[in-house]
Amino acid sequence: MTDRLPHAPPFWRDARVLGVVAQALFVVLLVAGIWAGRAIVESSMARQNIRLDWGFVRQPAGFQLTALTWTVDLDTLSLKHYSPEDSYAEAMLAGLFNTMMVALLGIGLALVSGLIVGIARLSRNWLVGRLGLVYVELLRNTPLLVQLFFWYFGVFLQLPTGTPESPPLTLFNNLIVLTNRSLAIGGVLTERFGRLGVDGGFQMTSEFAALVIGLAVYTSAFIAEIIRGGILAVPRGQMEAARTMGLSYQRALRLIVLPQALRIIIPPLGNQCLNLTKNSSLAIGIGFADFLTSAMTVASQSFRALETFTFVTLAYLVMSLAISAFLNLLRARLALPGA
Amino acid sequence: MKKALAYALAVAVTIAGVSYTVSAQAPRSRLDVVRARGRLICGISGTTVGFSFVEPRTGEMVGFDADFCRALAAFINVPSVEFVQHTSASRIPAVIAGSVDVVFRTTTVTYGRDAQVDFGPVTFYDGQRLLVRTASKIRGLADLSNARICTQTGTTSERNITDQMRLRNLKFELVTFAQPKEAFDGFVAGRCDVWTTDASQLTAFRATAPKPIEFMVVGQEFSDEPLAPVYQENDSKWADAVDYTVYAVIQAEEFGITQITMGSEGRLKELSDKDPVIKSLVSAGDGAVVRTVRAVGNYGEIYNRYFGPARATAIPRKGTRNALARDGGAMTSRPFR
Repeated sequence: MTDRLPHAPPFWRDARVLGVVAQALFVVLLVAGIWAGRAIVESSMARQNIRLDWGFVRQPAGFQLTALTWTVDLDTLSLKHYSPEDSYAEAMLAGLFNTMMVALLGIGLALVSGLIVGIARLSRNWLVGRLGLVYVELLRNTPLLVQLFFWYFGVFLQLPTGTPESPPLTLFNNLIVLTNRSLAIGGVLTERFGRLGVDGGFQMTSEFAALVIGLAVYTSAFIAEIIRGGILAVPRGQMEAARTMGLSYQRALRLIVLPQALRIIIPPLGNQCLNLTKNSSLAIGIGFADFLTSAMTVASQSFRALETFTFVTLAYLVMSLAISAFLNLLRARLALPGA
Repeated sequence: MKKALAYALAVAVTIAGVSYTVSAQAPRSRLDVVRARGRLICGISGTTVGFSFVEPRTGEMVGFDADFCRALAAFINVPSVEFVQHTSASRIPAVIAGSVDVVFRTTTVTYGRDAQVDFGPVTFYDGQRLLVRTASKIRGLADLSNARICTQTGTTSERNITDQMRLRNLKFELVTFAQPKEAFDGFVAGRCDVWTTDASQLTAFRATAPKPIEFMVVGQEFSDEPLAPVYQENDSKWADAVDYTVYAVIQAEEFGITQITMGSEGRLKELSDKDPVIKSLVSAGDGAVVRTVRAVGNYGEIYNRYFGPARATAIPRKGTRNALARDGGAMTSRPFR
């Protein structure tokens, strides 16, 4: 308890009392606002005859998309192969699984290539520096969807089709087979509908490859600039001191400069990882069954667009928050003690 | 402190304002909304050859569906049409949300969809078939074991092919695209062995291939796809406008009234004086039918403009349900009295 001052102001002029009152008032208004908002949504949905009904998620999906492979069995919570008899919810989870795969692989590839290009941009070699510049400017100044179309229609679908005129590329006695449908490892080469293709084995489809490479290459241009900026932000003296101590350029970069740059670049790098994850929804343009594609199919087959997209929004939110949380953790670990 | 109060006040005022406008809104027909706006917002595909596509020479949006949008604008006497491109998956949510007034986008009427939106009269009777490489020896659904199949996401085509393949217990792979153009490109590039969707689209896109002879439409129609306009539920005034636009162009064809006939006042007067039925057609809705047919022609003229025998994207009409009822088809109007 604090002693009241002899000249304590009346309570209506006491900043502490007023503060509490204002906060209480704000909470009341917030609750009223949420309640009113809910009432508005409910009444306008009733007016348009829309009722939220989540029962549909357990109905059988009845569709089979190429890339939907793994999903979670909602009854036993175990991993299983997706099939059209599975429910709408499981179909969407299969899509979510694909999106996470694309995001993880894409982020990994983007970080590696971004790092290489970022360092190349700083090279004293004129040619290497210019090549880095062209790479960055070309990729970050054209729309991602156009780039995805380029990778898919312009690169991967131009690979051999498997007809007698353009036979598939094979390596190691048909262990690895490349057609414009997939890169297959360890499958059986069979002829079907006049074209050679592969059954079974590990298959990476053209859609998947185009999406991952397209996303990674696009994002790596931004990451390269972030890394270049991060390295430049480390005082020159650090590099000079390291070189004076006899470290080679590579070792100085790796041991002295990059660890310090990392601290600076984590937040913007996190943004790029989030962007890549969300941009993966452009998969719908090139026929890859990612989370959004399978959710769109679910929405149009079940006519439950509102419920489906509520789920889609929440799932993307959770994914983004998870990435943010991970990066925050990383930042906390890397922070200078006491800083 | 003052800031917090001001903020709270602003929130309260906004909420009160929004709830007032929402609750005070009287149900208004879309017809009044469109007339007040002076512009019809029409949902189409925009990349479906024959139905709605950009004419390369003029840059204009044309096609069977696009012409019906223009017909509707003329019918309700609204000067302009704004075309909004939608994918198969986005068209029905767009109608429900009200961001488009009507959708003419090769949409199949189904019982399930009718629970969410309303449908107008059928403008085109279609059915699902297969587009294959001539060399592939696929001639029907039974040959599709282990086939890779391209189609569009969110369509009845996607559902039908899955059902048919499961019925036959055949293994298959489905690659789905957002738009028919991309599905077709993927198929031509060899990603799939088959492209399946409504036969009209297969025929129209086949004609645009570098060598159409390399591809052929095969198999029995394995689904019934009556394509019709889509609009919001429970708005009968707007429903009447859309429905009678379709009926107007069909009726004009039934009476043999063409765009040229409608354009000539003298000829119109002559016909109306001779036949009271034509007189009521001409005078209906302050000349709504006259405006409509002047804008786009009658049903047969619209059909022939995009699918006529002279076009690359020709689709035979004779003997199909798209012929007039008196020729054994299913196209029929309602009396304009």
